[in-house]
Amino acid sequence: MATASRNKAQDSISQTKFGTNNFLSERGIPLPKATSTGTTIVGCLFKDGIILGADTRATEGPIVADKNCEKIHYITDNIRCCGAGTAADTEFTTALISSNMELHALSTGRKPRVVTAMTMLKQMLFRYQGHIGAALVLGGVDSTGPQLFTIHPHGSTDKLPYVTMGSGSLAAMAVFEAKWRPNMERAEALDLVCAAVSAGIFNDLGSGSNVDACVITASHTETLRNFVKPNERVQKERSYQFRRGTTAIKKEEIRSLVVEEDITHIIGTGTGRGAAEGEAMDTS
Amino acid sequence: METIDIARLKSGEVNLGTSIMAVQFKDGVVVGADSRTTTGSYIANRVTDKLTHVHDRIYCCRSGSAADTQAIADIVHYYLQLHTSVSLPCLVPSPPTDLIACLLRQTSGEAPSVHTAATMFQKMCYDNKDALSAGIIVAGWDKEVGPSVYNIPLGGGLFRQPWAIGGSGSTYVYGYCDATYKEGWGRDETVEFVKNTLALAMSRDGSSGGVIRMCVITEDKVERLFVPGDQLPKFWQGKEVLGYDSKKDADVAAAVAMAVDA
Amino acid sequence: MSSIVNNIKDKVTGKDNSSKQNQESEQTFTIQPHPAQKTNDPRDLQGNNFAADPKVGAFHAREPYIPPPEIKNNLPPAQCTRSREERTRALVLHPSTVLSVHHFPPRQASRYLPNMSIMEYNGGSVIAMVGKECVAIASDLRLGNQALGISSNFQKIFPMTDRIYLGLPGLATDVTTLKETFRYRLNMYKIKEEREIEPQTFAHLVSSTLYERRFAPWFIEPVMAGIEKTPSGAYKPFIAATDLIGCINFAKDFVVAGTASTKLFGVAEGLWEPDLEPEDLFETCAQTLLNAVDRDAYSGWGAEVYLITKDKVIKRTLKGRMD
Repeated sequence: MATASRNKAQDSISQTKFGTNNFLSERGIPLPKATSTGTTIVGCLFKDGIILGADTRATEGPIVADKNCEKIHYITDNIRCCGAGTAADTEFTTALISSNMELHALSTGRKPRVVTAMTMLKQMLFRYQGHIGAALVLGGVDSTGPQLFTIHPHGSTDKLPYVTMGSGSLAAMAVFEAKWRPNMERAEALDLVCAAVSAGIFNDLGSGSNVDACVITASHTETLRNFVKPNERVQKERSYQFRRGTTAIKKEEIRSLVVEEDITHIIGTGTGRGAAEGEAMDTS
Repeated sequence: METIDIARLKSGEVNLGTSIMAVQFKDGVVVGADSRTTTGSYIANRVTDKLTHVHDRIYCCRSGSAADTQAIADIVHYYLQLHTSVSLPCLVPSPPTDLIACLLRQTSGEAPSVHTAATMFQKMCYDNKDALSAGIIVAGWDKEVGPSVYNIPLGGGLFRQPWAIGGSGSTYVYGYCDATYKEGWGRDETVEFVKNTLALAMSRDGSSGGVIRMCVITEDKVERLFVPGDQLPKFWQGKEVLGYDSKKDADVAAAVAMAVDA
Repeated sequence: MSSIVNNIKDKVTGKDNSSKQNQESEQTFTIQPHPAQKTNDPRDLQGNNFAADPKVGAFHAREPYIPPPEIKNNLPPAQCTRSREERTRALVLHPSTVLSVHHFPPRQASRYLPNMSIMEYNGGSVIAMVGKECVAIASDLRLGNQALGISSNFQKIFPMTDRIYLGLPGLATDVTTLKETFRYRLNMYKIKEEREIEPQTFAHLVSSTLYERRFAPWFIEPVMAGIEKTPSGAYKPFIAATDLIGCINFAKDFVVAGTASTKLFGVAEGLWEPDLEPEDLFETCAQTLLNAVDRDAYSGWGAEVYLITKDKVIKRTLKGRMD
């Protein structure tokens, strides 16, 4: 597979100046593959706010590692972030910034702003010089209105009314360039986001499975997990169960997790034996 | 000449393969840039604003790595805000620990000079020359010297120039600038010069394009100008060899002459 | 200062010429004002009286952003201190607040590695599958030095709690190290929390432990399986896997890892079906593993399956090809 995002993630690891990776790759030893989200993630502005969209495929080289992963990450109630690139990096950077945003909101006592999250993310990614392979689409609505940013792994940012990222970004951007208009209605914009992500799902090998979406407006945020499922697996035509006893066993050990205890009443009215049986039944 | 490969971008990095420009005139400066941002052959942003505000009357034009130049501009912007802050002397360590602290200690409350801003950019570009790919033009107006333009090319040098061009597109238009620039221009002539130069650079350079953004910085105000991609000045565009009409050619030649004169 | 020392020294040595010499040569120093200042009066330093100077006002800063009235009038009020403190306290215990990435010195891998991935150095594979109120996790038993088989009794699955089992396929040295790391961290968790860890939490513990070494990773792709107790008291099967830097994959059906992962994916995709009873799940899981590792040169040499149900754990050692 040779999607752009996949290669980018690998390069960012192989460039590592510290760690074993450099040592190994210098000797021509192929690097272990980290899970990457060779992805289609998108975001666009509409009349009342922001809509984010993502596919749900995670890949490890040519293998589909997860058929229904979540790529829209929580930052705050009114801010979400889509991640492409090295999956662990997007997961951990967004979790870290989410945590810092909550603390920032607590120390200022105000609703957090999207630019604050954007600045935290770009400064962190710049500090790591691209070694953290996270390509992000950050969107949300705050006191200054709807905001939409892209953040590249090296820490550069762009502010645009409609954005795409990941290996399927070209396919998705083609849809946006053709159909996006300012001040779209919610339903219309949601359809457009689905069309853009679907373009990635069907035309980019690194993207696949379902469409996740997230609609953020000034009043509330709506998460639409698996909003469209165009690739559902059909029921198998027959069962492939094995007859019990097919597998030859050499040894079996059973460990019971149920604690059995006998309680013998020394003082009391009932006879010792009868009471003990009653108690044992209660505990098992 | 020994070639140092500092211009090379880290793989997958977002590039401002750019045409940027700044020209000083009697009352101020005009800064201008194209709007294209690329990752490899993909245009990541076709309406980028490469003219970055660092203070009231000081702007910079960014070329090279988008991440590097944004980070530098953010830091300089931060320092210049400190510079304007009244309570500054108590914030700066005494004795000042580095050049930027020195710059900040000298004045406080005053608007910084363009030279101060340019020196901050230059210091950062020079000190980190191995890690950065940033070519920056700093321009603006201050009350010490009036309008000024400083060029900070890749290695971290600092040069004051009456006009400066930068980015990958600039190589195509040095001759045009040398042939066209005159001292003593007013605002409108300077704006036309910047617009024409950038249009020429954008038409020849594949990594430049989109729209032209310009800023006219004078003592009184900063004025932003915008030229959409379909209204760029047109120059000689070639002609069809077959079915060629000699009458029309004369009209085109006249139009070109007018455009060049302007 | 030095004159005092000299005096003492002279007294000790018995010299008596000190007073005379001192009177003659002792220098006096006055502090000269800086050329830019007139006097040494400290007030002179502030003589510009910054606050009074109109040029120095805040208007030199970037023009203030004045939000339009519809924003300005609708800004939410600042929260009161108490509710903020409560939220902070709740947050401090949240696992995501203790995330950090440490840099470790490079680990010296063997210099004699040939042209192959470090993940294939010792071989081995693990698979976990979900059934009806049960889970199965299975691994092969081979430990190799590349193509050379070393042991046919190398455990890769370890009990973490009564109901959570962890499979660690990858570099054998890291299998041993990580097994102990997790044992330590789980003991600490148990001491602090006074309860057993939940599978979901354990998955995040594994994930954070691996991401700590983001730039010098453990060469392990953990697979975990367990039974979760829901708040209503019911038992829910749980499986998860992570990559070598800790990206969690919460699957609903099966997860695989190791040198035979590609083959395991294919076989499991074909054989797995929902809601298998424990004994049927055992057969499906065992057959998936045995048939997949038969097509992998670096896995095999025997296998074992752990079948975890709500009231017991059955460990079965399988008969497999020994070539």
